[in-house]
Order: sequence, then structure tokens, then C-alpha cells
Amino acid sequence: MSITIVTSDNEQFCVEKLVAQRIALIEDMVENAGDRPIPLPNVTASVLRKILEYCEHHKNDPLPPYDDGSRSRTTHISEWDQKFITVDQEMLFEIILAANYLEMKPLLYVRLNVPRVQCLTACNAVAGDIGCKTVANMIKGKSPEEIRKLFNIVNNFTPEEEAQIRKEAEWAEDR
Amino acid sequence: MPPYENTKPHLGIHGRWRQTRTWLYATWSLNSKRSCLATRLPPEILLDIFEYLPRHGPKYWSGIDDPATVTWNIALVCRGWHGAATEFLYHSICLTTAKSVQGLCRTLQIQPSLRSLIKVITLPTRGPGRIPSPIVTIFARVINMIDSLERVDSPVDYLPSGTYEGWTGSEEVFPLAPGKHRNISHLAIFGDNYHKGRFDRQVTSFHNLRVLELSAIRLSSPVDPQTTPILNSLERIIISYFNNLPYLDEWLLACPRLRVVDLIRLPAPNPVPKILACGRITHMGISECWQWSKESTRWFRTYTRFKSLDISKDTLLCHLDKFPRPLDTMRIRFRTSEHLPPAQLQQHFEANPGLKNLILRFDEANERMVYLKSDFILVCNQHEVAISFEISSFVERSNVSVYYPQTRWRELRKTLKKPLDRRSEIERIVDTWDHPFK
Repeated sequence: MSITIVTSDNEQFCVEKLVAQRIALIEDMVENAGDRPIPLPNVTASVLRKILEYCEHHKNDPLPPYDDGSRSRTTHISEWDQKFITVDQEMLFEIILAANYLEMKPLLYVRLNVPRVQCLTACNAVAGDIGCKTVANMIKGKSPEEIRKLFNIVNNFTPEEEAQIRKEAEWAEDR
Repeated sequence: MPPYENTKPHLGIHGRWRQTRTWLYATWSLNSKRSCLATRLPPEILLDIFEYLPRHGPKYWSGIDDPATVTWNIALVCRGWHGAATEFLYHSICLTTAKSVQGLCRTLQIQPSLRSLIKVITLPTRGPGRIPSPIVTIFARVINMIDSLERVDSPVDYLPSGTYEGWTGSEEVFPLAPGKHRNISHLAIFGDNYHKGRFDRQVTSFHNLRVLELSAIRLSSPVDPQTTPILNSLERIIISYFNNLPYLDEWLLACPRLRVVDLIRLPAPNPVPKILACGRITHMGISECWQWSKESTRWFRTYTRFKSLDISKDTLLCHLDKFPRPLDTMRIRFRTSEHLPPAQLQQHFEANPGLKNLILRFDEANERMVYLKSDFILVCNQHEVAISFEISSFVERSNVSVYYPQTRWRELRKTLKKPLDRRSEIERIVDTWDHPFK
């Protein structure tokens, strides 16, 4: 069984229902929409294509444990995910924002309440997580100036503000 | 009317978040056409990104520290990042040197608004030498300024009398004023495995504790539930390096919500602790308890009824036959140098059927385990066990505090990668820290 998703640039995607339901926002909408197309007015076709590619690849992955606070975060990214997320910066941030909008992260934890057989086929990570890890890996170990250069960010602090922030963080720099 | 206009998502917390997200996304989409994408990320996503940056983990007081991480640089990138960066950076603070604790004290005095951002504070464990008393006093001063604390990891040490009301300075304590921090839900205290003390009065003054961790703490007498306040919210107790269970047994039994017991590097509990035999404990953690003999733990399968187990690899190999079956969930933690052949896992499943969930936790430097992931999935699928992986970063903050006995000084020194010829320089620094106010 498949469903139709319509993106902001009016492109239609015919997606296997099991794959589409990995996206919590769509899963909720499917219940109410019946056979009608699902609109995603905030996601472009190019971004949705990437996200569906991710869902398709990970649909048989095992489920991560519920985050009870004891699970620490890791910047480890698998080989396939690494290739998947090797995109230009604009696409990287688009994926992060779209994954956030599509509620791909909570999906994992909601899934814990479904029967085990279904758990076995749930995604083990989400595109948003991979995106955030990628950005974190990009900024790790870099100076403010290097980060600005990397993302083309303009330094909008006044010299006084910058000095003030440096002074506040002095105790941490001295460690 | 578009066909989907009636498909409004249900409201409630998630619904409201969804609306906010839609608005943020729309705002971002409009603005992103005009400016850099990275500066337009909403704070919630920036926080998600920052959460993957390394934080300092618990350390012990050695007078030296790793080079400063550059994580604090994120606050200096631009105004758009500053708010989320400040929130992230001040959320969890780890103090390990005299300079850092004095500097933080000054910063919090000048900028009181930062105080409420601090939720977690980690103080150093004792190292080869005691933490200088004036420094412990500043720990107390800093902590006293922060009302929003939710978790504290602290050494026990001597505080000068009069630091708090009623403090005589005659016994070891941890630098938190009794009962002051009402939001604290996780308290970890660590001693030196040698000095005895009575910490029950101070610990039980934090009524909202959900997790209590006692590491190398040597209690001087049994804690009496008739005279010691009961922690009604306590859900988990972690005991490591010194077996306090006999002293705590009656009191733990009186804590109505306790469901999780973690034992780390302890001798086998014997006689049977009432808290483990009462049937209330649903999850146990047992790590690095190599010396447990078959005889001393024969009671485990008869008396305990937990369904979820958290173990190190040695426990899997040496003690698993002692625990009740079948388990719902088992988490196995591996050190960097350890691995588990998939065939061994297969044998385990055949001998112990019925496990529902398996979690393998290792760090990303453990290449063998990373390489074997697909084999583990295969074995688990054959036995209908749901498997998941927790691949931790080497620099992660541990959930369980680290205690370094003096004998591990040399080992730690290697970890810190400080050349030995700098030892005299380091000792000189430690010496000057003994008198920070002179």
C-alpha cells in the first residue's frame, strides 16, 4: 500500500506506507486523510527525496533504546549515513530543519509502545540526528573565526560585547 | 477547500510544538533567502547540535587538567548563537582546578543571571592528595549561589566549621547546605574508601532525590529507617567500591519507589540483602564484580526477580547463569579493548532463551565491535531479539562517576598524556594551590 505526498513545490511522491509512516507527522496525517494526498507545504521535493532515501535505507534497522537520560550522545556516524549526509551546506541545514518539522526524532520513542515485531523494523536513527551530528563534527575544535568562515556567518558582536563574553568565559578557558 | 484541510493534528503538548515548529520553519524559510542559514537555526536545533559537542567528564583532583576544550567558542560566533550556546555551556559545569572554581565564583557574582542556567555541577573526585580546604570552601560558596541545581557530583571532604549553620567541621561532608537545593534529583558523592563518615543526615535532607550514588563511601554505622528520614522519590541507588548495602538495607527497604540497584566493583552481597530479595527491584546493574564466587551468589536466582539487567562483559561471561530468567532487557557494556564474538552471543541465546531486548554499548574507538554490528543484528534476528547499539564517544560524560584509587595514579597520568618529566612542575603547581589565598 502506498500514499501520495505533495511537496511545497507541488511535486508528488508515491511512497510505500510503511516507509512514510517512519515520519511521525505523516503518520498522524495519514490516519485522518484517508486516500487523499498528504501535503507538506514546508518541505521541498529535493529535501523530501533525501529524507525518504534515508527512511528507506533504515527501515529494517533495530530500534534504539528509550532515552531515559542514561544514554549519552555520540558523534559516531555510520558509513552509509556519512555518505548520505555528504551534501552542500544549504541541503544539510534544510535536512536538519525538515527532519525537525517532520518530527522524525520523537517517532523513535513513540515506537517503543508498539509490538516487538514492529520495533524490529523501525529506523535506528533519524536524519535530523545525523544532520546535527554532522554540524557538531564540523564545528568541533574550531575557533569562532573558523566557524564563521565555515558557515559564512558575519560577526555581529560589537568589540565590547565580545570582550564581555570572553571575560565571562575566562574561568572555563583557564582550565 | 483543499482535501486535507480537515486533517488538523490533535493538539496537546506535541500539537503545540508542531505549530511552533511550523512557524519557525516558515520564518526560517523566508529569512534564509536573505541571510546565512546557520544563523537562522532556531534555538532548539542549535541546542540539539551543541549537545553533540564534548563536555568535560568527572575528573579527580590532581592539580592538572586536559587542555581547555574549545567548546566555549560557540558563544562567540554571533548573536544568533549566543543565547543557545550560553544555555548549553552553563547547563553542565565541571570544575577541576583552583583557577576555574575561583573564576566561576567571580563570574556568578558579577552576572547573577547566569546562575539559573546551571543545572548540573561536577566537582573533582579526590586524587592522590586531598583537595585543599580553601578550595572546598569555594565549592560550597559557588553551589550555595545556585538554586536551580538538578544534579551534583561531589567529593566528601572537611569543610571549615561555620561554613553553614550548625557545621562543626569535625566530620567529612559534601559541600551542599542541607535541604537548600530542592530541585536536586541526582546526587553522587565520592569518598576515599578509607575514612568513615555519617552522610545519611546530609543526604536525606534532599527530599526530591531520585538517584543516589555512593562511590567509595564508607559508612560508619547502619542507617536506621526509624530515625533517618525516608527518601520518598528515590528510584535508583548506585553503590561502588565499598559495600554499603548491609548498612543501607533496612533504610532502602523503606524507600517506597526504589526500583533500580547498581553494584560496581563490589564483593558479592552476602547475606541476601532484603532490598534485593523483596521483589521490588526491577532493574539491576552489575559491573566489574570479578571476584563473585558461585557459592556466594547462589541465592540470586531464587531471591531476585528483576527483568532488566545492565552488565559489563565480565559479568556476562562469569555470572550470567546466576541471574533470574528470562530477562526482558539486557545491556552489555564493553571497554575499548573488549569484544564479543557473535558465536558466543549465539550460544548464549541458545542456552538462555526468552530475552526480548539486547543493548550493546561500546565506544566508537572499539573498532571490532563497530565492525561486528551487522553480525550481531543477524544473530539477534534469528532469535527474535530486538537489538540496539549505544556507541558512545570517548569524551562523553559518564553516567556513573569515576573514582580513582591512589594506586591508579600512574594509570591516570598516562591517560592525561602528561610527560613524566613534567612531574615536578605539576607538583609545584599543586603546592601553590594548597595556599590559593596567600
